[in-house]
Amino acid sequence: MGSGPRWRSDRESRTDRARRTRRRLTIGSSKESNHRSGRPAVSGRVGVAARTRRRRSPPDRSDSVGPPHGSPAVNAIKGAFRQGFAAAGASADRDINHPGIVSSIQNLIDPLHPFEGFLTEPAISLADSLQKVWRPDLDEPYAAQALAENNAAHWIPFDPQHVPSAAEQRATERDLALLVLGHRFGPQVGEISVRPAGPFGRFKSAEDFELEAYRQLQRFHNEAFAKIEQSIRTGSLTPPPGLPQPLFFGKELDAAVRNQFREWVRSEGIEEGPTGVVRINRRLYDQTAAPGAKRYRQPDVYVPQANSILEGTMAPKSWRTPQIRDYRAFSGANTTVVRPQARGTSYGVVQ
Amino acid sequence: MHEHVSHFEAYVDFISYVLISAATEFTPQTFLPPEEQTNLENAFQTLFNKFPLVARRLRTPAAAPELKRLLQSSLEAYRSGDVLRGGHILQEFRADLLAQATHRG
Repeated sequence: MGSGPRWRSDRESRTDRARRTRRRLTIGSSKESNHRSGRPAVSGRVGVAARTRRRRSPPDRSDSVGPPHGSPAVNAIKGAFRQGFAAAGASADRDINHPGIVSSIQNLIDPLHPFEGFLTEPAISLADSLQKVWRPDLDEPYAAQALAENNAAHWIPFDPQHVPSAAEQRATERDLALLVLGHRFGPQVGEISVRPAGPFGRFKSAEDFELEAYRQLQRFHNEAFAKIEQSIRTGSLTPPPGLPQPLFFGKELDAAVRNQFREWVRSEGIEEGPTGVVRINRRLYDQTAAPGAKRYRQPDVYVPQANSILEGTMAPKSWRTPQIRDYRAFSGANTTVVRPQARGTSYGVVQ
Repeated sequence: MHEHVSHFEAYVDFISYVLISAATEFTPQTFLPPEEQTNLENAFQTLFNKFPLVARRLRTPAAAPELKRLLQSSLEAYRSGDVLRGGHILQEFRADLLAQATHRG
């Protein structure tokens, strides 16, 4: 097969990554025990203790790059794969043994634990990303229906001579992960359950989103601060005449962070806009002002449902800062000040 | 690519991001797939492709060709490894753009 070396290379790198991370998702038998205890299934992100309890010394298969084609693991996933096609009403005449698809399947299975309830790190991250494509109007079998929508775009074309692109392989793996998680193990696989996407995408609530938004903002501030500092030092970024450097620095920081934050929100599939569930640098009007007065502020990030404003700044701001007081007066929201760590800590403003 | 650059302010913020990243590095973002990671070429492609977002806010539409020329000069400077010149021209592009732009209605 012409694509042989390419697939092998990719498979090996993923396998190596899986070995390094040793992050496991237990399914199958763990579901049963959790069902008995009335607790949710073990999560891919939490439940470390549970994972540790179940972890065993793996057999020495360091030379392995995944289960063989005819292994129970591959066959089981192929079964799920066929079910997916049938349930989706899609043509079942695709070649389940296409080398690209088999490679994709192998990439989903932890080589050290051939289908004893373990999936690889790529499979877990793929499953995470699947939460973003889940839509509330899709009923079970959700995997199949999602596939029906994306079938043509995602599956590697049935052509033994076709050399799959990296994007095709990734898309196919994603579909396979969805099938595996959806059809074989049901909608609940611990925390990485495939659930309807609400206004906050994969986040269960506005508060969950706001917490992650804060983390991302902090990271973006730290990253942008370092870059701006270096850019000014090397002379590639220069303040325009008449603009004090600290002010210039702050404006550049705000702008670069806003860009990053917009991109992240977009990647999460969450609506941003003047009336969106997330508002980035949008006007917040004073509802009590006289008609026509149009007093407003522009908080960096406003999440109305979380009653929260995240304000990036270099200098400390407190309840005494007019801007912060106005945020509260105009929206009733609590403000968290986010600062580059090089400049100080971030904190919530207390009234 | 860069679908978040969907309005005038987002475009201007994107310039800031390109300015500081082209001078240092385009840090890979874990929340984006490999094909959506920003680099110099696709960043400028976005600046060119989404130029209509800002062109419609120009007081004098005739300024658009000159602005695009600045954009092209900046890209060429970066490509040639002249990061300082690339950055300065891109800053000039942004300053001219903001000076030319009308306030939003």
